Amino acid sequence: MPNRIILMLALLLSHATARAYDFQAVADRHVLPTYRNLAERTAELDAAARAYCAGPSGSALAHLQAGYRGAFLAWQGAQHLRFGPVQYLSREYRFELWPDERGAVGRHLGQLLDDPALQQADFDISQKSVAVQGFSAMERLLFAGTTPDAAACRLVVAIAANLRDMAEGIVSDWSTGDTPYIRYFADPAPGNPLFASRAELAGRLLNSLYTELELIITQKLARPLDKSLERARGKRAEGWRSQTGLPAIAANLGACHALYRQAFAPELADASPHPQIEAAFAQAGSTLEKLQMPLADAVADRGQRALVEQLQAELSALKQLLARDLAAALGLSLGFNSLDGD
Amino acid sequence: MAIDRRTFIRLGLGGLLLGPAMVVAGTGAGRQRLLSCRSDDSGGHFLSMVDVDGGRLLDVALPGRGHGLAVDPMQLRAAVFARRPGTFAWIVDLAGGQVSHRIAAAPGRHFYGHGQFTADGARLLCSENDYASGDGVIGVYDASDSYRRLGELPSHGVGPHEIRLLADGRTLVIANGGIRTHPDLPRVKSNLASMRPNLAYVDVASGRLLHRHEPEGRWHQLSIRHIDVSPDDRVAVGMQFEGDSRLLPPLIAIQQAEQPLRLLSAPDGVQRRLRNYCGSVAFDADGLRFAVSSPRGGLVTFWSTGGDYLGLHEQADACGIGRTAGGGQGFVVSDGGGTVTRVDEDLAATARTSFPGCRWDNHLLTLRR
Repeated sequence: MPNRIILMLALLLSHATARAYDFQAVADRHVLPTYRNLAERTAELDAAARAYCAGPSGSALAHLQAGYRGAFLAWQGAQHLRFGPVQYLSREYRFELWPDERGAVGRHLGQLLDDPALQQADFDISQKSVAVQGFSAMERLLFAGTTPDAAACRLVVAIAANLRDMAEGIVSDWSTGDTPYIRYFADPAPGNPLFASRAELAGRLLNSLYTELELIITQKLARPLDKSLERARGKRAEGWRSQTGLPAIAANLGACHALYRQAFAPELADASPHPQIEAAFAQAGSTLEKLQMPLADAVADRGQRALVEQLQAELSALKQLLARDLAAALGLSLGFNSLDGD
Repeated sequence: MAIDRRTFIRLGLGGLLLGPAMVVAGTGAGRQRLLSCRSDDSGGHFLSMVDVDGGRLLDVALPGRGHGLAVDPMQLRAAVFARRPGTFAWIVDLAGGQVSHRIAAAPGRHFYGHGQFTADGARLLCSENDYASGDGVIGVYDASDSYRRLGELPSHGVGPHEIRLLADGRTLVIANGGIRTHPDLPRVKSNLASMRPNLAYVDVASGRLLHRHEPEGRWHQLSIRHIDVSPDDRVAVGMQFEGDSRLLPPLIAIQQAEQPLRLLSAPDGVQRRLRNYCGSVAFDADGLRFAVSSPRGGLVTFWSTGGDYLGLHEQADACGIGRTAGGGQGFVVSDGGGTVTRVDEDLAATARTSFPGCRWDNHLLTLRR
């Protein structure tokens, strides 16, 4: 038995080292465009926030809310990339704090709105609680059913600028300076302090896909679904105030699919499990399109709820295809301790 | 119950006489039990015990991901601590596998994931966070009275993580990681720019700080997280660097008595592979060498108590590390893929056993069978 395992490992390893993986292309065609889009959408949000607060009007608010949705969905399209500059300075949490089981966003936001520091010229939101720095706090200010007042406006402008700065920071950390992250990402090799082998980085990307699917299944869908129709909890849906729950999941899946096609599909060259993975992405996408109402309402509607549950099952099947079949086909390890220590 | 943090705890004298060295009896590898937290492939979390060479002995389902472990001197009970910022610490009977006590975090406190029984088994000490103030504390629980919380000691730092008692039974060594967290924002590290970790020696009876040791100023982002203590009270330290990932700071230290931290680096090529992160630290049973896991690099490095780099063992995703129980100079290493490896006194891997569906978590303890 141990001999067989060693033989299998040896086969897997030889398999893994033979793989090419064009990480430069993954960076140029997937990662950087994703973050540039985030930087552009947050810059638009920043402009819309300043415009609204300089001259509040119904149309300016509508423009600001549209700017919010655009930037939030750009973030959702980047959420699957869980490594590198997005993790510097806790940026990933500062963009969005969700799920927020303890209600930190509402509580910290309430405290800040009452805080005289908010009115000071040197107010710096990046020094405040992570909970008030990003989309989760801004959504409450923009979709509360009332128009944002002066204090809220000050905060909206500060959050928008913070989001824009963080997005620009990620683009710049990836691509400029003496030691841009892309240099390490594009060329995994012994001696590279971040990625010592191509198989390691490929495993990291696979883990990113896996983790995003897991987040959708166990948090974004399971939390509002709860155990039964009677117990459905629509307000646990991500983005329920701005009705961005399902568009967010569509953006997540689109991004995962794009990363899969850029990084992994060329390695499989149409062999198994490539057709199954493509079919699973298509199936989940088609189920998502059948959902006719916001996620927060869908989980409490008998017919639509069945579709949400179907989506959840289809994504679990997709997750298994990636974790088991794709990992085995390419000889990759998902990692556990190596990615999430303490 | 309101807790006055100035009300320090008096330990019974019995706790001072029975040193931890008495736990180790006899020599040779022999059969080994491994105790560790693990996750399965479908999101379940367990405390499990297995025979290192194959065979499942115990599975206790946990309400969340577990982290560190402690076993009482008689090896009858294990304490398992929730992962930071955790709210549970459970006591498990090792013979029958029943959960005898479920300790909930005290109001305003959360667990940091590690703890220790006193040498007489009468008290359980847990690293905890007073999260309103951000001050680290050590919760003290009465093992003879349903783990009632007797009070707490100051940890003399922020973010206490792993703790160990010295052979005198009265001095607690605390790895104050320096990182502030809050249960409202699970896993968010909120003070990375200003963190100041330390290794604190604290008198358990009075809570008084005896002395403490910090990395030199330019390495203030070296979070002191995991420690082990040899029978002659040397402290081996494994750190995690929270600063610029392109720098190459030392990550391992050895320290004794009131001497300063001695920072150790492996040869450059190896040091680079540690990825600025150490996961777990263990002395061998003889206290002559220690091992440090670096799961991000898939490496375990070995060191002499004199600070010499001795070599490495490669094992992907390996984090859990413990001495071969019962004596000698071997180690046991576990990884997230389910493999448990024995490393012998020549630092060679001699046996690998696969446990399907077991993603072994960060830490393990070994017991003689």
